[in-house]
Amino acid sequence: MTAHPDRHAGSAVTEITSREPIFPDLREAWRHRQLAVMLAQRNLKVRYKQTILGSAWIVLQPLLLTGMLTLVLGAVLSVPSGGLPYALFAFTGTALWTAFNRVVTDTGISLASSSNVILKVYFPRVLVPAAALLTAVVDFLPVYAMLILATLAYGRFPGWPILLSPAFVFLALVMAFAVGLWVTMLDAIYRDMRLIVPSILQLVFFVSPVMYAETAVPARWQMLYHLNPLVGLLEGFRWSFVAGSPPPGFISIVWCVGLSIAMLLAGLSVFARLERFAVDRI
Amino acid sequence: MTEYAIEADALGKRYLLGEDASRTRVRQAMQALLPRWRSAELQDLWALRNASFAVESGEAVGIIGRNGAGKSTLLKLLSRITVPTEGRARVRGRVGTLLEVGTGFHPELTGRDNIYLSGTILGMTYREVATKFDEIVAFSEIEKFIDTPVKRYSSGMYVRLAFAVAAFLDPEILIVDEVLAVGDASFQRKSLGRLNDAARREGRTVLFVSHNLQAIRTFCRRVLVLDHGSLVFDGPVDEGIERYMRAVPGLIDLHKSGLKDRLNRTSGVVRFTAITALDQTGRATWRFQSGDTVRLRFSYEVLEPVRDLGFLLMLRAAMDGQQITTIREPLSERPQAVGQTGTFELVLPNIPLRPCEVSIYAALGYVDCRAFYDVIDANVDLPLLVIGSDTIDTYARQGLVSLEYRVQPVQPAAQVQA
Repeated sequence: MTAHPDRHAGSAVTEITSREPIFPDLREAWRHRQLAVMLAQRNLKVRYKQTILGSAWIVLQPLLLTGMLTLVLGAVLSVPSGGLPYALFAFTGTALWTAFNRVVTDTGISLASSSNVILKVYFPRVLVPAAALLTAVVDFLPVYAMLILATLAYGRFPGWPILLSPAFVFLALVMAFAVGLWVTMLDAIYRDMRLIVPSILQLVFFVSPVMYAETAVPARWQMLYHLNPLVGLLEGFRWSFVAGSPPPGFISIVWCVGLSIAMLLAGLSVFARLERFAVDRI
Repeated sequence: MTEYAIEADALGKRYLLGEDASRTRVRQAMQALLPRWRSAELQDLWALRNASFAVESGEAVGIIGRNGAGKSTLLKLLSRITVPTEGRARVRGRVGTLLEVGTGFHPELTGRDNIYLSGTILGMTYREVATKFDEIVAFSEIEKFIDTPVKRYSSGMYVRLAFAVAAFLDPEILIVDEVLAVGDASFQRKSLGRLNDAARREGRTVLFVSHNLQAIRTFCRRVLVLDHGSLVFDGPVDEGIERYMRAVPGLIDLHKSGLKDRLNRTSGVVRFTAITALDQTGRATWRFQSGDTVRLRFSYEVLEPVRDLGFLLMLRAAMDGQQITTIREPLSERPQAVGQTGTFELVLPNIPLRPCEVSIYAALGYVDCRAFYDVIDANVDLPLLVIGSDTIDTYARQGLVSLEYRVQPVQPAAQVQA
């Protein structure tokens, strides 16, 4: 009885059921990728509103941490830095660490902090943590530029290995994203998560070679120590950035890559399973 | 043959009520240790159960029911915001969901940024927003402030911009919840007009939840009536509204109804506890004939001491929010003690309203009504006063009020000299 052509002709059919997916619909998410970009843009635009230094904080945070470490550990305590200038050693470490830390934290609270939108309209939920990841990638670019300047300033430009450095950043962010997916799901259900996570991250900070060289760890603990994927990543990242740092062990790189992929798949799967449950709880 | 746009098959949604389920065990342990430890009982609530229906493409379907009947749950299930506990549904085509005005708006961002952000969140592509950008701005009438952060907007500007974004969505299925309850009368007219276009001229499939029965009547031919999570009626609009009205209780108990909503707006130190509409004979009803005497009986309770008490009643045409009349009445010049309760009746003799639906807005406040303690309206589920008429006068449905008038013959001699 309507005079209009059927608007729905040929439209895709969406099945709404109580079935639990075991993996997020990544094709659907990809179709909506612009939304992740928009959300990331929003994060970037909003974050430093009403601060004086604005986006300079992105570089200032790792620089401040580097400054403190250099002063206390490098100058006063003479902590080993694997033969590199301590400031450069610490800067490479804190740069990667800050990015890792931020991705875990931001993706971790992303779902709960977007609850106002999530409860009002549907879109592939995985785009919310994805936007947090994207934000962190953009955040890393100026830090990256600063790192290159620093290696040049110290006359430690590594040459070709620098081409591999993005791969290490990528691995670190993927791993952080995977952890963040777990956190965001658990956080939506138990708000305790956001209180525990900073402490856990602090622990990880201490058992990773951010402020001391891995050679400081006694030989009998080295195996165990290298189970922490950040150890291999930081080694690799330093090697790709600073001439004179030792290359990472092959096994530890394989371990990092394998673990990143496994954690990402597991994280996405957990996200897909719990997403619907979490939405009712936030 | 028209295919279905929406097919719902025994849809059901269960929510866990009460506090955090994750705390149940802790609570149980605490209760065992300390008998006086009080906690909310944890229970299931079927917000919706066994809802089956089908909507043809191009159909506009209204959904009515009292607060908590499951209307919003149904919309959330069909728009995939939440997932059913049981049953299934098939939805064919792109769905646009408008459950609130300004989804995704960020106060720190400018109007321009928010148009892009909200548009993308609501399902448009960046390119679509860019193409429609000028139209959206024009529709919102806030050109001058487009590069101002929306936190500096007046609430009217905010609502206009937010609605403008939504108005340019291009979904095959539009799911709309009570968004039109915000804004002033002219905004409501505009947004209803837009919705009407979407349903009638553009042939979109529309699911529309509203307390505005007149609006539902205007652009839906079919209505679903929900009651306590069940679909109790599916059919022609007039019959459905009739059924819904019949189910409205004569006495509205306001102890719990919409308390959160009320406390958001006002202090709640004095609260309405009940409202009833009575006819001349004292029978509770919300339906009257033009010319009937309408008695509105209000009960209230004082929860914190106040120095005086006043009452305000506003009657509005449900269709477009136009004010019919406002009544302000002091109840007491003297301080009111905690625990004091009262009941009063407002009598409107021979109500001169033409057939229409009247929404009630009632408030308790200072004796001079400068500030309010409690406000109740459709948001807390107050029913509408339905005014009908037996007269065969076709003009009786035009206009809101019948003024008293008479026609008198004028003798030629009495004519005014030119």
